[in-house]
Amino acid sequence: MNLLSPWGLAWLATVPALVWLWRLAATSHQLKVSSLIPFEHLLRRPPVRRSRLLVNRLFWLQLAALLLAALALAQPVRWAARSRTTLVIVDTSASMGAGPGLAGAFERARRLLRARLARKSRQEAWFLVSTAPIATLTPHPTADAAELRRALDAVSPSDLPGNLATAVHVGQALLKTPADRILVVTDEPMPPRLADGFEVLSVGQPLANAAVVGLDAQGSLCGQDTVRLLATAQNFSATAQQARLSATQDGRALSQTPLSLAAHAREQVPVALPADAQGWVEVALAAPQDALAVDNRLHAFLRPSASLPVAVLSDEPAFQQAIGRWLSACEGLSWAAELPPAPDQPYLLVTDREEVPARRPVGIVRFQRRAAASPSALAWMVETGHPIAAYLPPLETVAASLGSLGDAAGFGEPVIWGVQEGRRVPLLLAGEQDGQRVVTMAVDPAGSADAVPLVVTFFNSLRWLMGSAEMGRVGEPLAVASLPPGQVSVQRPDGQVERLAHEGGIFRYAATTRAGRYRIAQGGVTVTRAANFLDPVESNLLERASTWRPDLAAASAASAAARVPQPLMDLLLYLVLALLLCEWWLYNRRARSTVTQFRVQGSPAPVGPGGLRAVAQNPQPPAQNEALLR
Amino acid sequence: MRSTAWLTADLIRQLETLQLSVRWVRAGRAIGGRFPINRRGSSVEFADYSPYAPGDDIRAIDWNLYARLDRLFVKTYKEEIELAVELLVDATASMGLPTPEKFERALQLAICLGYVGLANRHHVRLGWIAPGRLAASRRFRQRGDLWSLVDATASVRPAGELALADWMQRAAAALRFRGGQAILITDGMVRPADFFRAAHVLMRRHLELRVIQVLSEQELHPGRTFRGGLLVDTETGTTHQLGYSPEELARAVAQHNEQLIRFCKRHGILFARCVVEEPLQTCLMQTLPARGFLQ
Repeated sequence: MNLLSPWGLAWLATVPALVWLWRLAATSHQLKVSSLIPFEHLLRRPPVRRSRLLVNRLFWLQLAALLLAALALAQPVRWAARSRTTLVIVDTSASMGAGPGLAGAFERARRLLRARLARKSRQEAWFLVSTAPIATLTPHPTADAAELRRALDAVSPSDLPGNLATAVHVGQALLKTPADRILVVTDEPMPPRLADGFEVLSVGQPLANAAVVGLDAQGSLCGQDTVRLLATAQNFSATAQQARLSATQDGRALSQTPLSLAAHAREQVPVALPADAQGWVEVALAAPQDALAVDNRLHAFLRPSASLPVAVLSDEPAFQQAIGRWLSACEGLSWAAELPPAPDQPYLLVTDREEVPARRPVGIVRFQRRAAASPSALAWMVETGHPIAAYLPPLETVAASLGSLGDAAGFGEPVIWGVQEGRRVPLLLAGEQDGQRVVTMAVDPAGSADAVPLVVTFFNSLRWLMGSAEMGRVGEPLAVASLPPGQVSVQRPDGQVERLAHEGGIFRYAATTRAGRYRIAQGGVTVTRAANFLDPVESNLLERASTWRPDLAAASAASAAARVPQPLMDLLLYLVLALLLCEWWLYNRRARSTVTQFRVQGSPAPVGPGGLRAVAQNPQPPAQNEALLR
Repeated sequence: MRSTAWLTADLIRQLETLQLSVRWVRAGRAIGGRFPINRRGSSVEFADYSPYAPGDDIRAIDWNLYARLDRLFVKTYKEEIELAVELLVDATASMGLPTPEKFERALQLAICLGYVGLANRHHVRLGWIAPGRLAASRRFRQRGDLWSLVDATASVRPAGELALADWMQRAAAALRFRGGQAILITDGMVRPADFFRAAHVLMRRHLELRVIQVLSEQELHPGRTFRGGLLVDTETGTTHQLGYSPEELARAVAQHNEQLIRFCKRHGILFARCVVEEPLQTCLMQTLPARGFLQ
């Protein structure tokens, strides 16, 4: 045992104070006696000073409490082997729901964990963490098998993709001490090499599946045609299969499109729609070999027209001219140097101003220009994963007049980088804030030549900004612009209704764990948003990709046999409290017993608490003067 | 108002079976009882001869004696009187400590002994040994006076201090003690010399004195609870820092009581001790009969 704070023992100096208090109480205590006459001959000589402290059980209890309190303040610790803690990662990603009912992967995982739970030692604590979403299933590590069983029964696979490595990291971070063992139950393939302390139970098996992995509800940006709906279907099986793509609106079948999907093939299929179709359309894929249901249904919102009007606002005529020249190349696009006349018409804003008009645009392309900047050749590096980077080569040299991102540098995700004087600087940032998409470009269109990559980037930006805000993916937050303060109810696809307090402004709903339509209502206003699954990695049950990372080993293996300090302060303080309670109880009991013991027969009057305590403890005293009395 | 719940029918029935033991009666006032005294009276029990004096009843002249001695003598007869029982209860402040039970017990004993006296047709009177004006009840004569006896104790509270002998002298004169039996119920917390003088006062008045000492266990064994501190005499207010061993304290109390007991033995005074913590019945049915108070 060690003392973390030995100076705490200085509190032992209070022991003499306790003794002194008892002495003081003994000497200053006034005891009324019936008479001092019997002791008169004793009183004639001075009393001998007592050298022995007269105490009772109360004193010993107080002394013990004082000593324990001093010891507690010294913070003693005992070095002991840690109780075993197992971090259990339960894969709850959408792919775990594959398979029929009790034969599904998740039910197998649940059965396996229950069996492990039955064999678990009583001291071993489990900490359950789910992967999708990453959340703890028990508030803290517990060895209570019943609580763990209840937690396992309550959990079910979500419609989200999962990441085992992230879940392990989060689980370890939430544990106060590193876990002795990490048990992972997943449908992902077993990692090739596992460090000590890890155990992975793989419950997955290769399954054929067909899924809709993409949906494009936009038409041509520059064309006058109406909106089109393009669905991307993929066959995750080793054999070709005939599938059927159907579109329905409010329960009414719009179309059915037969599909022939080759093995492992991905195919983009136009969904046949009536010319005047608009609003929410549900697209469903039916295939004979299909193990996962969640990736077969999608929801798309169709606008009456493909593109939004564009307002170009600038104080610089050259800027307006350059943008106008670009926009005029797209015949189907309507634009003006002022806001659209209809007050409720959605529009896009292209500007070089910092301020935004009171009428909130759907999206903004903001050019951060720099005065008198001349064009220079720049090496463009493009992040190809972003929609704005479509049709752009990863690396290209572009002659453009550079601007400065300034304060906007931290907002959004860099899509295009420029290399200038050996340094990499962001040229285009794309981000979303409060339900509004914003593209910030550090380029001056007026001072730049009409380079093809620059124009493509601009139109890609417009196309991205015109993307439907009504449709998102599971796990992404849904945003509704400008709801007044009050209570907002959200009806989820699983039927649950959540009521949330809203303080005004943009309303965000983050718990999109289920694919489907979410109805957000406040007062008489109802807004519908959809979260689609659209995850080819999760849909691929034939060749499951692993989200495991080999560097997860170190954290748990190092702590396996460590001896940890166990602080005894809490225990000692509880003991102090118990002793003080005992002392209090004893004190009261003595007072009560004095009253009851001395209520002699026939006496109605209550007896005061003073005196006679000793007699109460010994009701049969030895006789006095008995010989004379006889 | 004190509760009389302790005075049960069972206890009264038990008291009916008892009577006060009487060793001698030398004087008294209430004629017509069953205790003869050596005083010219009208009973049939011959007492003595006395020379004739003018005015004597000539029917009492013993003519036979005149024939032999040629002198006139009249016969005298013993007078038969009722027994007067004076119950003297110590009501000084010391009787209120260490618990009020002590004084309650003293009152209960006085009432019970008084009832025993009433049941035997004695004249019973209660007197309170307390500072200030002399306080005593009237004389009770009948069994039915039991509740009057109880009522007489209703308002008495232990308080104050006094010199026992002085009070006894005042009471003897004012209450006209003469003959009979005096039962002194006290805790004995009085200086022995004072106690002796008070006893002499009563004996001079031809009272057969009996003493009942009512004490609590704490007073008998003070060392058990007097562990330290300042002792305060409840009567005088005198204080003293306690610094003696329990043995010394116990010995002091024993010596004090021994003086009282020895004095009583020497003068033929019955002495009994009732401990507060014992049941009342133990004192009435065992202690007092064993000490010769009751039979």
